[in-house]
Amino acid sequence: MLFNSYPFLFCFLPIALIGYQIAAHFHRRAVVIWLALASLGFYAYWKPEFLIVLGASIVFNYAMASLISRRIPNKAPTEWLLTFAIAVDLGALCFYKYLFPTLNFFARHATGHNRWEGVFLPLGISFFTFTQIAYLVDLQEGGFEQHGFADYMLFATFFPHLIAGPILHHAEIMPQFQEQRDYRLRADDLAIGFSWFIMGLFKKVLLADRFSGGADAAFAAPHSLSFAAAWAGSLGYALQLYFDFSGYSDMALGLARMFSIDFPLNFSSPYKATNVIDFWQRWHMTLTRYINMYIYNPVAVRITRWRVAHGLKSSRKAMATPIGFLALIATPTFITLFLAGVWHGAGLQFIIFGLLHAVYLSINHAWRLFRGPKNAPAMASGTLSTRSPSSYIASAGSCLLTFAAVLLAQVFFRAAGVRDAFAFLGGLLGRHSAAAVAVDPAAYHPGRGTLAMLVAGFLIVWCFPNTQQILAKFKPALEVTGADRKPALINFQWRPTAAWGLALGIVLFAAVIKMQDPSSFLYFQF
Amino acid sequence: MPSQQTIPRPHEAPEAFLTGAPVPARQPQGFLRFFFWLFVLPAIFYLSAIPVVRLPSYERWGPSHYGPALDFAYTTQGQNADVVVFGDSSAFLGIDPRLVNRQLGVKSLVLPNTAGSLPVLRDQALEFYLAHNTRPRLIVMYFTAWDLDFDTSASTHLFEGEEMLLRHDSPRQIAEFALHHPLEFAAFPLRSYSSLGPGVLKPLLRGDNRARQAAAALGHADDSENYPPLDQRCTIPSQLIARDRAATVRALAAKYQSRGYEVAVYLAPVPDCTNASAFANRGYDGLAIAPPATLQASAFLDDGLYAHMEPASVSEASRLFADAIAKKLGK
Amino acid sequence: MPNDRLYSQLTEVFRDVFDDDSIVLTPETTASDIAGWDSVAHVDLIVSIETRMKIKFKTSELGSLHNVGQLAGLIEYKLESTKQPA
Repeated sequence: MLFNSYPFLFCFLPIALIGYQIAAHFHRRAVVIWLALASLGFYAYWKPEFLIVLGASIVFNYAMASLISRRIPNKAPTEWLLTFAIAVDLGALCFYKYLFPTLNFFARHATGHNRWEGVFLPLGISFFTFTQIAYLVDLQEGGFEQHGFADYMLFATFFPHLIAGPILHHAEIMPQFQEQRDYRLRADDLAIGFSWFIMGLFKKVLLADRFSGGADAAFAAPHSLSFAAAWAGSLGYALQLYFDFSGYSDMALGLARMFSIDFPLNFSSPYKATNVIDFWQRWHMTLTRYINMYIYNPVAVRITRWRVAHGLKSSRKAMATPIGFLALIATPTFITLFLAGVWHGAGLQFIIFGLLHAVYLSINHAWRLFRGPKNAPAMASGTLSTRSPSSYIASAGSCLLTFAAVLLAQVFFRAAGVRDAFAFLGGLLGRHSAAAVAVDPAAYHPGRGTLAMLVAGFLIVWCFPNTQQILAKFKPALEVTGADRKPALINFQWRPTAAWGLALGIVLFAAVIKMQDPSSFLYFQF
Repeated sequence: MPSQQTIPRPHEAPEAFLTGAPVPARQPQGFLRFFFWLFVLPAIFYLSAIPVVRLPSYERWGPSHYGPALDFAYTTQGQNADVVVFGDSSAFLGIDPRLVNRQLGVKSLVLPNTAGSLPVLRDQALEFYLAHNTRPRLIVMYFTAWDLDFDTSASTHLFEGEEMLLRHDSPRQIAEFALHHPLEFAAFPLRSYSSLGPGVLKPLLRGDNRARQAAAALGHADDSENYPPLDQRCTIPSQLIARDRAATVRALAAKYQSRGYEVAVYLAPVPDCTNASAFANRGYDGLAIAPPATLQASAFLDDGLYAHMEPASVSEASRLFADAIAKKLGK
Repeated sequence: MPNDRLYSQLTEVFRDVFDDDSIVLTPETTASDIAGWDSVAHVDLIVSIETRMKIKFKTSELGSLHNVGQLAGLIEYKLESTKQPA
């Protein structure tokens, strides 16, 4: 079930809320069980067969957790149990995510990586697999006590994050379900959460779709792109991807808030980043956090410890040497980003996407080493500075440079294959002849309104506050990022006033109309 | 009253919340009032849709895509035509009765319906016409070759018929429809809003009166969408080719023949796609006058339906139609 | 006070890692407060603390620290648990 669908909005959500309210009158346990069951139902709506995959994954991982924590008494070394569990989890993930698509690709010459993913891939399998692996790793290290099955099931399946994240860490979520408090629905949380949900719906349904047409057309015929068409397609895709993904994250966080649960943030105005390191602290933040915690840190720390143990330096000066840099920075970065690329999809173009960002990050870290720590910006440097005109321009310049780098990597992310990606890049450089463009009936020609839409889109992305800044008065998420503390160029804040109510009501209605299944609407004008 | 910024979230002030005491929801009335403001406009928009659609003047200025044409079928009193054409959207989009009249020297008109409205309205338009006019010399049932069994083919465009239902039928008929199709009925207001958009403003500003245009054109309308012409290398989807049953139209034809009317079934032309030969012999056991004619693909709109004519090709389609029924009229 | 001693040790490590003698640590200090505290510096910091205080961090502890106060608390806990009974 998608959040932007009638069954969810008019059927599932009201029932989930009502059931939750009833359960809250009884006991915390009832609430946990109700939400877990509702989440399973939510998942089963798409394809009941995939519920078996989800169920099996949860039961298997919980069993392994019980073995590791010795709740089921056994003598097996916990490292072996953990390794086995991770191998099975990743094996299943690879099977669904990479085997089928690869086979289907050869069988049908499929063009888009999105089109058949939903058909063969159990929705959200990457998310609930990763979440559970993290739980097992932490459990094996002995960081906490294993939770009951109902709590664990809810943690893994809670419907706001089940399909598309954010990737939750058990330490931030489990305590919220274990507090002995009044679990009944709260008017303030419902209002804040639903407003947030509507903002996300607006981004996904009313904004992202404006750009998808052009982007799809451009990437479908990359060999016949004129200079203008290539740039329109690339910029359009950047906006589509951002509004789509961050909109969905907004909906997830808003939904959780309706149930008085706080989720971690997933987006923080990423296109305002002034360097690539900052970008990854703002884009899909929970994924960055996850791969940092479970891949980058372990690898980097082990390398560093090894160097220290062997009398080699690990200081900043050591990092500035070629070997030091390679060992301490480049290696863990490349491993991490390679895996991040692979995680996003099956295909060489995703690996290139990951490696490109690995190169960007390595360059960024090298630059920081050169400049010295005092000159380096604080981790979340964020928006355009207000210090002086020259630093303003410098910030704007860094922002554009970072954005250009991200745009380049996105071409590989979106293209149907490596050859198409290079053809697209050729278009960006104006390499395709006008004759080649004219001959192809499928060539993308941006319409007259495209420029205006792109300008409007970038105005929103670069000058508006993001949703957690809009909701800042009401502590929307678990914490405030440094970037979000700096106000946007244009500032406005949500309050439960009539004006906000009316405005969001109109937005909600417009989104509900737009949400109707487009395939049954051949003359959709909205 | 503490400011909103200092009121703790459930996960910040464990002491207050761990006692199990009821949580002091901040200013609940303020937030509940917020929900009123949130839902008031959507509720007004939603509930006013049906009354607005029922306004007599709605089809003159409303955004409904095919509404003005379909509405014409309920304003045919006193037309007293010789030839009445009843069919799906390929009929009123495909032929211009004025051209047919000029060619044959008779008066013909089209009673517009669409594949979406037929399951809802069936032959209401025809019954209405026959009850308010002199007996026509010929009734032509003009359908796309794959649309002859509309009672059983599930359509997603029922709202087109719903619009007419709400405007012209009795409360009892409306209630019956609502009971049989509750979800469609509930979604109708949303459907009617979906045709709002920038494309609607221009005709409105020009003062177009699409209802009057439809009446002047005797039921014909040009598709107002800017679809490109169909490409030569098209393929008619297999699901459409597989729809080869004609039970509904056969029964309809029989119904009016048994009342003494002269009835002919005409199949709309099909585009000259790579697999158009599938229709070469499809006359439905003599039900239709002839198998559908084949016209070049570019005469059709690329709107996914493979049946709607480009405005520029309407004259050719009208000529083919006139030629086909000329014999029936003894010309 | 052991806490003060811990904080002065930590401050030394921070100043060394970030090459900045002006760093002052409070329990609320976070990554966004110190210039250059990115993932690379984080690793350097962690291993320096491990070497200095002879403790070892677990994977789960490395990423979930939000501020220096939590870090100090964690180190204190580890130091306590490795103390030999008298």
